[in-house]
Amino acid sequence: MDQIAAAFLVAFTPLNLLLVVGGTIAGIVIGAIPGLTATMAIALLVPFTYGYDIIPATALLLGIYCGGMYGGSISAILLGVPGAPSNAATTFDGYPMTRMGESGKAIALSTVASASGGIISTILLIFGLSLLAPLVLLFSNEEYFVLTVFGIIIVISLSGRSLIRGFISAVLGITISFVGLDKIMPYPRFTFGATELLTGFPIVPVLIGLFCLSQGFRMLEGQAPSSATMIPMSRQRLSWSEIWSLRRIFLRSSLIGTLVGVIPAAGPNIAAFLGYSEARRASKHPEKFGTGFSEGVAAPEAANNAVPAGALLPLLSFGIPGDTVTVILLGALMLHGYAPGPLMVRENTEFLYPMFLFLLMANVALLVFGLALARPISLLLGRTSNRVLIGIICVFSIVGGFAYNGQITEAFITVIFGIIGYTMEKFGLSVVPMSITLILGPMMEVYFRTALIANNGDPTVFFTRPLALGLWLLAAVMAWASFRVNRRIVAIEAAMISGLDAPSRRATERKD
Amino acid sequence: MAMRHILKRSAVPLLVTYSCLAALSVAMFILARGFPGAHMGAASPGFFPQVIAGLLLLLCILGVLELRRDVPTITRVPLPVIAVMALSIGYILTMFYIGYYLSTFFYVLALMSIVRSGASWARLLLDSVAITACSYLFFSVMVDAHLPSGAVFG
Repeated sequence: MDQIAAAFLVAFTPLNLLLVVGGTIAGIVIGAIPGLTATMAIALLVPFTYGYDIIPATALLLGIYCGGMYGGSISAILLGVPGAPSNAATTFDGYPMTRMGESGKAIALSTVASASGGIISTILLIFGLSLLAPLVLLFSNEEYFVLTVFGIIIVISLSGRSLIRGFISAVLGITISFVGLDKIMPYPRFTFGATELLTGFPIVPVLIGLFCLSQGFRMLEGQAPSSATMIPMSRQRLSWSEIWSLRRIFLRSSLIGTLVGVIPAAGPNIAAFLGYSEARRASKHPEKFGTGFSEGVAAPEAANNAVPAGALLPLLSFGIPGDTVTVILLGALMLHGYAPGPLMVRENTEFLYPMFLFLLMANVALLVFGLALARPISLLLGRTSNRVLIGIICVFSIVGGFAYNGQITEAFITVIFGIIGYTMEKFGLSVVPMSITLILGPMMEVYFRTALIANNGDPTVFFTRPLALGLWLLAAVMAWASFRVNRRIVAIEAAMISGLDAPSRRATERKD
Repeated sequence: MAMRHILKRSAVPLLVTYSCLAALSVAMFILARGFPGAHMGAASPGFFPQVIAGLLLLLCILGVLELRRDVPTITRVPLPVIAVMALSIGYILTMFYIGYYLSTFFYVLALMSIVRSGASWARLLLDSVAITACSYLFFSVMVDAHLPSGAVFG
């Protein structure tokens, strides 16, 4: 009880309130711009947290996370071009509503759905973490090794069209993580005498390069959506009875989003499509989906905004990131000297409770500012120049990488990984598995070797301990299930994207 | 010759990529074999790199086999993208000679002239000054990062 009271005192300081609200607004604005995702928003603004303590830094990052996830729905509804792939499903009914003159109602619906998805999933996160906390204490190095392998298998099984290319991307992430001083025996690996590489590749510049700069390069290829397609926002309001009639959709989609968020690398894109298809399956009027039906806007938005809290569950309990944004969040936490995982659940509860409050505050801020900012953003969207955006992204990415430590090497690393990220996507290799294994790879190796030391080099311990054996079985079942879900999502996406118009299809096909 | 009949022409870029990755895996395996041996029952520092190198080589072979039935559409890298990549490396190098402000201004101006999309030079100059000023406000004032003043002017 004392901890909860202390958390309120910590969370509600003027600075933290300002940062949560500011982060949410920044996330909404950046997320609303087609092509810019929540991942990018958070990577671009990580440098802003360099000067802050861990708690204000988390307040800002969680605000950006929640705001960025919602922001894309504004352009999805008003322009028919999703701000991020996770908002693609929103275009199916959101844009038809706009064409019917109901854009104001669609935006209000998306805001309420997003906020409810975020709040419901945060409550589920609090319960989930309290259930997992005692279990986490039973885990030792053997189980953590199996868990990291489990995470990597799931990441690969959800890697889209080609399992082999997803696997190659994951293995490349592990390969890159080998560079630097060995963590068990202090021996330099693949540094080729460069002292700058002894600590390995710094995670934040690498992620800024992979997710931000590479997107800047990609934007040089595409065309900005024309403001001519912009339909002015109407002034309809959403009634309480309409909100109440959608309560089941909010609940079901929030649950789907939270569960999808827990699965490593599944992400908001999958959550939104699953939320949409489940809502359609359970609806009394499935024939109305795709024609400007309110349920078709509420379901994907509640589902994708439930992902942040879901993705935080494996991150906070086991140190395993649930999606690309939590990878960057993890990098930012490590930058501030915090390593999420069992130690945090056991020893840093004073940090956990404010984190839950920040998530709730961000979703309330989203409800207020999401509605208030929709009109100014709609005006901004009509005037956004691709040229200026590319300039901002390139400068902020390179200088953000440099500002990480004030070293020229880090600016170069940002550019090199920007080029790697761009080239990989060009060749059909997603950077998502790579970014996650960059974090999970070293963890897997350390747990494996530490367990071997503790058991005199006996490798059978990974199969003879009951909990480890149970996790192997669970990993096998989950990998099979994820593989099936991946196949289904690829099919749904292909079917739905083929129904979109050209600019929407281009924006949707950009990988998160 | 036989490969040309089996694989589509569009598979060549990926075939080259897989070959490079296979070469990387072999080099990694050879280098990792030179790492010190196991100690106190732990696997040696070279154990995981060797396993991963073997896995990467196997995946490259499977990747080549996959190209026979599934080739992703790979479009040519446009010249503006290559130019901006080169500009970005040049930007970092010049930052330490002429300082952050001038190098950022010239980098943005050069970048914008590549993505000009019909804008006038006055507009490009104005945008470049605005982006440089914004980045100064963000990194120097708000983040308090130490930005290089340059060897020439510093």
